[in-house]
Amino acid sequence: MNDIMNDLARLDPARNTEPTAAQWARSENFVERTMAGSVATSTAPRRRWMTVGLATVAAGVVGAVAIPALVPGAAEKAVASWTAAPSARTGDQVMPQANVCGAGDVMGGASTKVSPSDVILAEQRGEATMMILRKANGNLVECLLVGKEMFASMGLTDGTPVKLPAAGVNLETSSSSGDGDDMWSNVVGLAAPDVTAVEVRTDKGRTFQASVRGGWWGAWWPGSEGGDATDNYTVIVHTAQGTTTHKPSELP
Amino acid sequence: MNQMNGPPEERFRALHRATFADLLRFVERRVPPHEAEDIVSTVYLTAWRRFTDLPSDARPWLFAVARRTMANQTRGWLRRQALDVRLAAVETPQASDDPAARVDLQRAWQTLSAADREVLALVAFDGLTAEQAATVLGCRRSTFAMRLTRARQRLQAALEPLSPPVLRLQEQS
Repeated sequence: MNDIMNDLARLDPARNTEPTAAQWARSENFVERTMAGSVATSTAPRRRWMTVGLATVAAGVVGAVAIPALVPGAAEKAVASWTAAPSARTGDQVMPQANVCGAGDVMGGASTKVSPSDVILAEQRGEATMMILRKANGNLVECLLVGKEMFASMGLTDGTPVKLPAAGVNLETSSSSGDGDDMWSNVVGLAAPDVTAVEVRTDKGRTFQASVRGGWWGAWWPGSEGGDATDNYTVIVHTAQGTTTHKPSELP
Repeated sequence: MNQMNGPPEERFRALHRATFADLLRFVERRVPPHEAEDIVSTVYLTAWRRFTDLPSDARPWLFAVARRTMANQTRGWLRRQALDVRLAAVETPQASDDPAARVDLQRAWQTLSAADREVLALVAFDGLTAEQAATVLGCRRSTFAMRLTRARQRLQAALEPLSPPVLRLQEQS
Protein backbone atom coordinates (compact mmCIF):
# COMPACT_ATOMS: atom_id res chain seq x y z
CA MET A 1 0.00 0.00 0.00
CA ASN A 2 1.19 3.52 -0.69
CA ASP A 3 1.15 6.40 1.79
CA ILE A 4 -2.44 7.44 1.28
CA MET A 5 -3.63 3.87 1.74
CA ASN A 6 -1.53 3.54 4.88
CA ASP A 7 -3.02 6.77 6.19
CA LEU A 8 -6.46 5.44 5.37
CA ALA A 9 -5.77 2.19 7.17
CA ARG A 10 -5.29 4.17 10.38
CA LEU A 11 -8.94 5.25 10.10
CA ASP A 12 -10.19 1.69 10.01
CA PRO A 13 -13.04 1.51 12.55
CA ALA A 14 -12.15 -2.12 13.29
CA ARG A 15 -8.39 -1.55 13.46
CA ASN A 16 -6.73 -3.69 16.13
CA THR A 17 -10.07 -5.04 17.35
CA GLU A 18 -10.51 -8.70 18.17
CA PRO A 19 -13.69 -10.63 18.85
CA THR A 20 -14.49 -10.90 22.51
CA ALA A 21 -14.48 -14.25 24.26
CA ALA A 22 -18.27 -14.13 24.29
CA GLN A 23 -18.40 -13.49 20.55
CA TRP A 24 -16.07 -16.42 19.93
CA ALA A 25 -18.20 -18.64 22.16
CA ARG A 26 -21.46 -17.63 20.48
CA SER A 27 -20.05 -18.17 17.01
CA GLU A 28 -18.45 -21.51 17.86
CA ASN A 29 -21.71 -22.62 19.36
CA PHE A 30 -23.51 -21.54 16.22
CA VAL A 31 -21.10 -23.45 14.03
CA GLU A 32 -21.60 -26.60 16.07
CA ARG A 33 -25.38 -26.27 15.85
CA THR A 34 -25.14 -25.59 12.12
CA MET A 35 -23.16 -28.77 11.56
CA ALA A 36 -25.62 -30.68 13.73
CA GLY A 37 -28.47 -29.37 11.56
CA SER A 38 -30.25 -27.68 14.43
CA VAL A 39 -29.66 -24.01 13.96
CA ALA A 40 -31.68 -20.88 13.98
CA THR A 41 -29.38 -18.36 12.41
CA SER A 42 -30.42 -15.15 14.03
CA THR A 43 -30.71 -14.12 17.62
CA ALA A 44 -32.93 -11.26 16.49
CA PRO A 45 -36.40 -12.78 16.07
CA ARG A 46 -37.74 -9.74 14.27
CA ARG A 47 -35.93 -10.83 11.12
CA ARG A 48 -36.79 -14.49 11.08
CA TRP A 49 -39.51 -16.57 9.71
CA MET A 50 -41.35 -18.26 12.50
CA THR A 51 -41.47 -21.83 11.37
CA VAL A 52 -41.39 -25.41 12.44
CA GLY A 53 -38.23 -26.01 10.45
CA LEU A 54 -34.84 -26.15 12.04
CA ALA A 55 -32.61 -23.98 9.91
CA THR A 56 -33.91 -20.56 9.16
CA VAL A 57 -32.39 -17.62 7.36
CA ALA A 58 -34.32 -14.54 6.45
CA ALA A 59 -33.14 -11.16 5.38
CA GLY A 60 -34.82 -7.86 5.00
CA VAL A 61 -38.15 -8.42 6.61
CA VAL A 62 -39.51 -5.88 9.00
CA GLY A 63 -40.62 -8.16 11.75
CA ALA A 64 -41.66 -11.61 12.78
CA VAL A 65 -42.71 -13.00 16.14
CA ALA A 66 -44.06 -16.30 17.29
CA ILE A 67 -47.24 -17.66 15.86
CA PRO A 68 -49.59 -19.59 18.12
CA ALA A 69 -49.86 -22.90 16.31
CA LEU A 70 -46.76 -24.49 14.86
CA VAL A 71 -47.74 -27.71 13.24
CA PRO A 72 -45.04 -30.27 12.56
CA GLY A 73 -45.27 -31.82 9.16
CA ALA A 74 -47.04 -29.00 7.34
CA ALA A 75 -43.87 -27.68 5.74
CA GLU A 76 -42.93 -31.18 4.62
CA LYS A 77 -46.37 -31.61 3.04
CA ALA A 78 -45.96 -28.28 1.30
CA VAL A 79 -42.56 -29.18 -0.13
CA ALA A 80 -43.70 -32.62 -1.25
CA SER A 81 -46.69 -31.23 -3.15
CA TRP A 82 -45.01 -28.11 -4.58
CA THR A 83 -45.80 -27.13 -8.17
CA ALA A 84 -43.86 -24.80 -10.47
CA ALA A 85 -47.01 -23.04 -11.62
CA PRO A 86 -49.14 -21.48 -8.90
CA SER A 87 -52.90 -21.13 -9.05
CA ALA A 88 -54.00 -17.60 -8.25
CA ARG A 89 -56.50 -17.35 -5.42
CA THR A 90 -58.93 -14.56 -4.57
CA GLY A 91 -59.54 -13.40 -1.05
CA ASP A 92 -62.89 -15.17 -1.04
CA GLN A 93 -61.22 -18.45 -1.90
CA VAL A 94 -58.73 -18.37 0.94
CA MET A 95 -60.76 -16.98 3.82
CA PRO A 96 -60.11 -19.99 6.11
CA GLN A 97 -56.37 -19.50 5.66
CA ALA A 98 -56.64 -15.71 5.86
CA ASN A 99 -58.37 -15.98 9.22
CA VAL A 100 -55.52 -18.12 10.56
CA CYS A 101 -52.92 -15.77 9.09
CA GLY A 102 -54.61 -12.70 10.54
CA ALA A 103 -55.02 -14.29 13.96
CA GLY A 104 -51.26 -14.82 14.30
CA ASP A 105 -49.35 -12.38 16.43
CA VAL A 106 -46.65 -11.65 13.85
CA MET A 107 -46.38 -7.86 13.62
CA GLY A 108 -48.79 -7.58 16.53
CA GLY A 109 -52.49 -6.91 16.52
CA ALA A 110 -54.16 -10.26 15.93
CA SER A 111 -57.00 -9.57 13.51
CA THR A 112 -60.23 -11.04 14.77
CA LYS A 113 -62.05 -10.06 11.59
CA VAL A 114 -60.48 -10.54 8.20
CA SER A 115 -62.22 -9.67 4.95
CA PRO A 116 -61.42 -10.88 1.44
CA SER A 117 -60.17 -7.43 0.51
CA ASP A 118 -57.44 -7.75 3.16
CA VAL A 119 -55.84 -10.46 1.05
CA ILE A 120 -53.41 -8.64 -1.22
CA LEU A 121 -51.94 -11.69 -2.92
CA ALA A 122 -52.72 -15.38 -2.60
CA GLU A 123 -51.61 -18.45 -4.48
CA GLN A 124 -51.84 -22.20 -4.22
CA ARG A 125 -49.03 -24.65 -4.98
CA GLY A 126 -49.99 -28.21 -4.26
CA GLU A 127 -51.22 -28.31 -0.69
CA ALA A 128 -49.66 -24.97 0.28
CA THR A 129 -51.32 -21.59 0.32
CA MET A 130 -49.10 -18.51 0.29
CA MET A 131 -50.62 -15.13 0.98
CA ILE A 132 -49.80 -11.53 1.76
CA LEU A 133 -52.40 -10.12 4.14
CA ARG A 134 -53.10 -6.70 5.57
CA LYS A 135 -53.82 -7.00 9.27
CA ALA A 136 -56.30 -4.82 11.14
CA ASN A 137 -53.41 -2.67 12.42
CA GLY A 138 -52.28 -1.97 8.85
CA ASN A 139 -49.19 -4.17 9.00
CA LEU A 140 -48.60 -6.57 6.13
CA VAL A 141 -47.68 -10.17 6.82
CA GLU A 142 -46.85 -13.11 4.63
CA CYS A 143 -48.16 -16.53 5.64
CA LEU A 144 -47.61 -20.05 4.37
CA LEU A 145 -50.19 -22.66 5.27
CA VAL A 146 -51.27 -26.18 4.46
CA GLY A 147 -55.02 -26.14 4.92
CA LYS A 148 -55.47 -24.23 8.17
CA GLU A 149 -52.07 -25.25 9.45
CA MET A 150 -49.76 -22.27 9.26
CA PHE A 151 -46.10 -23.25 9.14
CA ALA A 152 -44.52 -19.86 8.57
CA SER A 153 -45.37 -16.21 8.98
CA MET A 154 -43.29 -13.11 8.41
CA GLY A 155 -43.87 -9.39 8.77
CA LEU A 156 -43.35 -7.42 5.56
CA THR A 157 -44.18 -3.84 6.52
CA ASP A 158 -44.83 -1.99 9.72
CA GLY A 159 -47.90 -0.23 8.39
CA THR A 160 -46.13 2.62 6.65
CA PRO A 161 -47.19 2.92 3.01
CA VAL A 162 -44.92 1.11 0.61
CA LYS A 163 -43.53 2.87 -2.44
CA LEU A 164 -43.71 0.81 -5.58
CA PRO A 165 -40.69 0.76 -7.87
CA ALA A 166 -40.97 3.10 -10.84
CA ALA A 167 -40.23 0.16 -13.11
CA GLY A 168 -39.59 -3.53 -12.70
CA VAL A 169 -39.38 -5.13 -9.28
CA ASN A 170 -37.44 -4.86 -6.08
CA LEU A 171 -36.55 -7.52 -3.54
CA GLU A 172 -37.88 -7.05 -0.05
CA THR A 173 -36.77 -10.36 1.39
CA SER A 174 -35.05 -13.56 0.36
CA SER A 175 -34.86 -16.44 2.79
CA SER A 176 -34.75 -20.16 3.29
CA SER A 177 -35.95 -22.43 6.02
CA GLY A 178 -36.14 -26.08 6.97
CA ASP A 179 -33.52 -28.77 6.91
CA GLY A 180 -32.14 -31.32 4.47
CA ASP A 181 -34.56 -32.41 1.77
CA ASP A 182 -37.32 -30.33 3.34
CA MET A 183 -35.59 -26.99 2.91
CA TRP A 184 -37.59 -24.34 1.15
CA SER A 185 -36.94 -20.80 -0.03
CA ASN A 186 -39.09 -17.71 -0.23
CA VAL A 187 -38.75 -14.39 -2.00
CA VAL A 188 -41.03 -11.38 -1.83
CA GLY A 189 -40.76 -7.96 -3.43
CA LEU A 190 -42.67 -5.02 -4.77
CA ALA A 191 -43.65 -4.79 -8.43
CA ALA A 192 -44.27 -1.74 -10.59
CA PRO A 193 -47.67 -1.53 -12.28
CA ASP A 194 -46.19 -2.41 -15.66
CA VAL A 195 -44.94 -5.81 -14.48
CA THR A 196 -47.04 -8.52 -16.07
CA ALA A 197 -45.27 -11.60 -14.74
CA VAL A 198 -42.25 -12.69 -12.73
CA GLU A 199 -40.36 -15.96 -12.89
CA VAL A 200 -37.54 -17.37 -10.80
CA ARG A 201 -34.78 -19.55 -12.24
CA THR A 202 -32.41 -21.29 -9.88
CA ASP A 203 -28.83 -21.94 -10.91
CA LYS A 204 -29.65 -25.64 -10.69
CA GLY A 205 -31.97 -25.14 -13.63
CA ARG A 206 -35.40 -25.03 -12.03
CA THR A 207 -37.65 -22.28 -13.45
CA PHE A 208 -41.03 -21.45 -12.02
CA GLN A 209 -43.63 -18.70 -11.89
CA ALA A 210 -43.97 -16.21 -9.09
CA SER A 211 -47.29 -14.61 -8.23
CA VAL A 212 -47.86 -10.93 -8.93
CA ARG A 213 -50.76 -8.94 -7.54
CA GLY A 214 -51.50 -5.71 -5.73
CA GLY A 215 -48.03 -4.26 -6.23
CA TRP A 216 -46.32 -7.33 -4.74
CA TRP A 217 -44.65 -10.39 -6.19
CA GLY A 218 -43.66 -13.53 -4.34
CA ALA A 219 -42.75 -17.15 -4.68
CA TRP A 220 -41.53 -20.06 -2.61
CA TRP A 221 -39.85 -23.27 -3.72
CA PRO A 222 -38.10 -26.35 -2.39
CA GLY A 223 -34.38 -25.66 -1.94
CA SER A 224 -32.00 -23.45 -0.03
CA GLU A 225 -31.22 -20.82 -2.67
CA GLY A 226 -33.23 -18.01 -1.09
CA GLY A 227 -31.13 -17.97 2.06
CA ASP A 228 -27.76 -18.88 0.64
CA ALA A 229 -26.75 -15.30 -0.13
CA THR A 230 -24.72 -16.51 -3.07
CA ASP A 231 -26.78 -15.04 -5.93
CA ASN A 232 -27.68 -18.51 -7.05
CA TYR A 233 -31.02 -17.71 -8.61
CA THR A 234 -32.29 -15.23 -11.18
CA VAL A 235 -35.43 -13.14 -11.18
CA ILE A 236 -37.01 -12.83 -14.63
CA VAL A 237 -39.32 -9.83 -14.99
CA HIS A 238 -41.83 -9.52 -17.81
CA THR A 239 -43.42 -6.24 -18.87
CA ALA A 240 -45.14 -5.09 -22.04
CA GLN A 241 -41.79 -3.66 -23.09
CA GLY A 242 -39.95 -6.95 -22.81
CA THR A 243 -38.13 -9.22 -20.38
CA THR A 244 -35.26 -8.44 -18.04
CA THR A 245 -33.25 -10.75 -15.81
CA HIS A 246 -31.66 -9.89 -12.49
CA LYS A 247 -29.57 -11.58 -9.85
CA PRO A 248 -30.88 -10.89 -6.33
CA SER A 249 -27.95 -8.62 -5.47
CA GLU A 250 -28.72 -6.49 -8.51
CA LEU A 251 -32.27 -5.74 -7.47
CA PRO A 252 -32.96 -2.57 -5.47
CA MET B 1 -11.21 -26.57 1.39
CA ASN B 2 -11.68 -29.96 -0.22
CA GLN B 3 -7.95 -30.51 -0.43
CA MET B 4 -7.52 -30.54 3.33
CA ASN B 5 -7.59 -33.82 5.18
CA GLY B 6 -9.91 -34.90 7.94
CA PRO B 7 -13.66 -35.04 8.43
CA PRO B 8 -15.66 -32.07 7.13
CA GLU B 9 -16.69 -31.02 10.63
CA GLU B 10 -13.07 -30.64 11.66
CA ARG B 11 -12.22 -28.76 8.50
CA PHE B 12 -15.17 -26.45 8.99
CA ARG B 13 -14.14 -25.74 12.58
CA ALA B 14 -10.66 -24.92 11.30
CA LEU B 15 -12.14 -22.60 8.68
CA HIS B 16 -14.14 -20.86 11.37
CA ARG B 17 -11.13 -20.43 13.63
CA ALA B 18 -9.08 -19.04 10.76
CA THR B 19 -11.64 -16.57 9.44
CA PHE B 20 -14.04 -15.52 12.19
CA ALA B 21 -12.11 -12.50 13.43
CA ASP B 22 -11.52 -11.14 9.92
CA LEU B 23 -15.10 -11.78 8.89
CA LEU B 24 -16.53 -10.10 11.97
CA ARG B 25 -14.33 -7.05 11.39
CA PHE B 26 -15.34 -6.98 7.72
CA VAL B 27 -19.01 -6.88 8.71
CA GLU B 28 -18.58 -4.49 11.63
CA ARG B 29 -17.09 -1.90 9.28
CA ARG B 30 -20.30 -1.88 7.29
CA VAL B 31 -23.29 -2.39 9.59
CA PRO B 32 -24.19 -1.41 13.16
CA PRO B 33 -22.21 -3.58 15.61
CA HIS B 34 -25.29 -5.17 17.14
CA GLU B 35 -26.26 -6.59 13.73
CA ALA B 36 -22.86 -7.95 12.78
CA GLU B 37 -23.01 -11.31 14.53
CA ASP B 38 -26.30 -12.21 12.84
CA ILE B 39 -24.76 -11.59 9.46
CA VAL B 40 -21.65 -13.56 10.28
CA SER B 41 -23.83 -16.47 11.37
CA THR B 42 -25.68 -16.37 8.06
CA VAL B 43 -22.37 -16.49 6.24
CA TYR B 44 -21.20 -19.58 8.11
CA LEU B 45 -24.54 -21.28 7.56
CA THR B 46 -24.16 -20.64 3.85
CA ALA B 47 -20.56 -21.81 3.96
CA TRP B 48 -21.54 -25.09 5.61
CA ARG B 49 -24.24 -25.68 3.03
CA ARG B 50 -21.74 -24.98 0.27
CA PHE B 51 -18.69 -26.40 1.97
CA THR B 52 -17.75 -28.65 -0.91
CA ASP B 53 -17.83 -25.65 -3.27
CA LEU B 54 -15.58 -23.39 -1.21
CA PRO B 55 -12.34 -22.34 -2.90
CA SER B 56 -9.02 -23.00 -1.18
CA ASP B 57 -8.74 -19.29 -0.41
CA ALA B 58 -12.06 -19.13 1.40
CA ARG B 59 -11.79 -15.70 3.02
CA PRO B 60 -12.76 -13.63 -0.06
CA TRP B 61 -15.61 -16.07 -0.72
CA LEU B 62 -16.89 -15.55 2.82
CA PHE B 63 -16.57 -11.78 2.46
CA ALA B 64 -18.53 -11.94 -0.80
CA VAL B 65 -21.34 -13.86 0.89
CA ALA B 66 -21.28 -11.38 3.78
CA ARG B 67 -21.49 -8.49 1.36
CA ARG B 68 -24.56 -9.94 -0.35
CA THR B 69 -26.14 -10.76 2.98
CA MET B 70 -25.62 -7.20 4.21
CA ALA B 71 -26.97 -5.73 0.99
CA ASN B 72 -30.02 -7.90 1.29
CA GLN B 73 -30.66 -7.18 4.95
CA THR B 74 -29.99 -3.50 4.46
CA ARG B 75 -33.07 -3.32 2.30
CA GLY B 76 -35.26 -3.85 5.28
CA TRP B 77 -33.21 -2.24 8.01
CA LEU B 78 -32.15 1.00 6.46
CA ARG B 79 -34.89 1.65 3.97
CA ARG B 80 -32.76 0.71 0.99
CA GLN B 81 -29.81 2.91 1.81
CA ALA B 82 -26.68 1.84 0.02
CA LEU B 83 -24.24 -0.35 1.86
CA ASP B 84 -21.35 1.80 2.96
CA VAL B 85 -18.08 1.59 4.86
CA ARG B 86 -17.61 3.65 7.98
CA LEU B 87 -14.48 5.34 9.23
CA ALA B 88 -13.27 5.41 12.79
CA ALA B 89 -14.66 8.33 14.76
CA VAL B 90 -12.50 11.41 14.56
CA GLU B 91 -12.76 11.78 18.31
CA THR B 92 -10.61 8.69 18.85
CA PRO B 93 -7.27 9.51 17.25
CA GLN B 94 -4.27 7.35 17.85
CA ALA B 95 -1.13 8.64 19.46
CA SER B 96 0.85 8.74 16.24
CA ASP B 97 -1.82 10.60 14.30
CA ASP B 98 -1.66 14.13 12.99
CA PRO B 99 -5.15 15.32 13.99
CA ALA B 100 -5.41 17.83 11.14
CA ALA B 101 -4.40 15.27 8.55
CA ARG B 102 -6.88 12.85 10.04
CA VAL B 103 -9.71 15.35 9.71
CA ASP B 104 -8.67 16.16 6.14
CA LEU B 105 -8.69 12.48 5.24
CA GLN B 106 -12.10 12.00 6.82
CA ARG B 107 -13.47 14.94 4.84
CA ALA B 108 -11.96 13.60 1.65
CA TRP B 109 -13.42 10.17 2.37
CA GLN B 110 -16.89 11.67 2.72
CA THR B 111 -16.66 13.23 -0.75
CA LEU B 112 -16.23 9.80 -2.34
CA SER B 113 -19.04 7.62 -3.59
CA ALA B 114 -19.99 4.54 -1.59
CA ALA B 115 -18.57 2.45 -4.43
CA ASP B 116 -15.18 4.19 -4.18
CA ARG B 117 -15.15 3.77 -0.41
CA GLU B 118 -15.91 0.06 -0.79
CA VAL B 119 -13.02 -0.46 -3.19
CA LEU B 120 -10.55 1.43 -0.99
CA ALA B 121 -11.74 -0.30 2.18
CA LEU B 122 -11.23 -3.77 0.76
CA VAL B 123 -7.53 -3.01 0.40
CA ALA B 124 -6.81 -0.50 3.17
CA PHE B 125 -9.02 -2.00 5.89
CA ASP B 126 -9.62 -5.62 4.94
CA GLY B 127 -6.09 -6.12 3.67
CA LEU B 128 -7.11 -7.97 0.54
CA THR B 129 -5.09 -8.34 -2.61
CA ALA B 130 -6.59 -7.13 -5.88
CA GLU B 131 -7.36 -10.74 -6.78
CA GLN B 132 -9.17 -11.35 -3.50
CA ALA B 133 -11.02 -8.04 -3.61
CA ALA B 134 -12.19 -8.82 -7.13
CA THR B 135 -13.66 -12.06 -5.81
CA VAL B 136 -15.52 -10.15 -3.11
CA LEU B 137 -17.01 -7.74 -5.64
CA GLY B 138 -17.62 -10.40 -8.27
CA CYS B 139 -15.55 -8.69 -10.94
CA ARG B 140 -12.35 -9.36 -12.82
CA ARG B 141 -9.00 -8.52 -11.28
CA SER B 142 -8.26 -5.98 -14.00
CA THR B 143 -11.61 -4.30 -13.40
CA PHE B 144 -10.92 -4.06 -9.71
CA ALA B 145 -7.43 -2.67 -10.31
CA MET B 146 -8.87 0.05 -12.52
CA ARG B 147 -11.56 0.91 -9.98
CA LEU B 148 -8.97 1.04 -7.22
CA THR B 149 -6.71 3.35 -9.20
CA ARG B 150 -9.56 5.73 -9.91
CA ALA B 151 -10.84 5.67 -6.35
CA ARG B 152 -7.35 6.39 -5.05
CA GLN B 153 -6.99 9.28 -7.50
CA ARG B 154 -10.30 10.75 -6.40
CA LEU B 155 -9.30 10.44 -2.76
CA GLN B 156 -5.98 12.10 -3.50
CA ALA B 157 -7.69 14.88 -5.46
CA ALA B 158 -10.11 15.49 -2.62
CA LEU B 159 -7.15 15.92 -0.27
CA GLU B 160 -5.37 18.47 -2.41
CA PRO B 161 -6.19 22.16 -2.05
CA LEU B 162 -7.93 23.93 -4.89
CA SER B 163 -5.69 25.42 -7.56
CA PRO B 164 -5.23 29.19 -7.35
CA PRO B 165 -7.88 31.17 -9.29
CA VAL B 166 -5.29 32.69 -11.62
CA LEU B 167 -4.09 29.31 -12.67
CA ARG B 168 -7.61 28.16 -13.39
CA LEU B 169 -8.23 31.25 -15.53
CA GLN B 170 -5.11 30.48 -17.52
CA GLU B 171 -6.30 26.97 -18.08
CA GLN B 172 -9.60 28.20 -19.45
CA SER B 173 -8.07 30.68 -21.90
